[in-house]
Amino acid sequence: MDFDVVYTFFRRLAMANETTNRKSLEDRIVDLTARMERRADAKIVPIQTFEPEPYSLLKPMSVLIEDSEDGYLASFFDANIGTSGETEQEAFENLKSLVLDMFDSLNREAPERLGPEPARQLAVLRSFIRAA
Amino acid sequence: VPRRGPLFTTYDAERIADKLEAVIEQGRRPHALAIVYHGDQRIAHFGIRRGSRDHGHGHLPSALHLSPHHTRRLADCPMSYEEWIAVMKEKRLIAEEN
Repeated sequence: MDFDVVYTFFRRLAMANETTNRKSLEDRIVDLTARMERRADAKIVPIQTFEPEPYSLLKPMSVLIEDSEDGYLASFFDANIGTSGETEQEAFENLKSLVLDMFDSLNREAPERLGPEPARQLAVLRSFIRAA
Repeated sequence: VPRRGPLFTTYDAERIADKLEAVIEQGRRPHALAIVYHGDQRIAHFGIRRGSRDHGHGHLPSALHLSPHHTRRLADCPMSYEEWIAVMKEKRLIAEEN
């Protein structure tokens, strides 16, 4: 095969990859910048209780509430659980529901079926929550 | 800075759940839980906020262990289930098969 044809093919392939990588990097920079700006206004709110749900808290859970593109994001970073809401309060309440949903769902699963991350999440949740 | 609208919506979350053949569990309001298995192993899960298809789902990238760019590729089709599994294995989030 002609050397020039092969060279041109790989050169174009490299340029296409470079463009894709650059676009990916640009997207990540825009996203990280936006997240840093939002984090500046973020607040940490503790979950102190799950009442009236029948679960007791062994220690407060710190939730990060931050502004997002269309509302608020609430995250419990220790267990990598997050959700959103139209208001800070809604995001916080939604996260409490989701944390209990995850806790119940993970507890129902046979331990040998849990992959590394779900197993870690369950261990973290068990260090905070106990079913009453 | 003007708001751009949600990066990921309920619609995206549902598309990703379909693509990853997630098992859907109905949770407390307003969520459903999308659970992803690889073989017999539960490897990831995320909440889907029901109600409107436009609800923000900004938590999807971290739940899927992907960058926002790759999460968008997963929602919009260029990234396949197999490619996502490869990323999860690279990050050691799938236990080695015997």
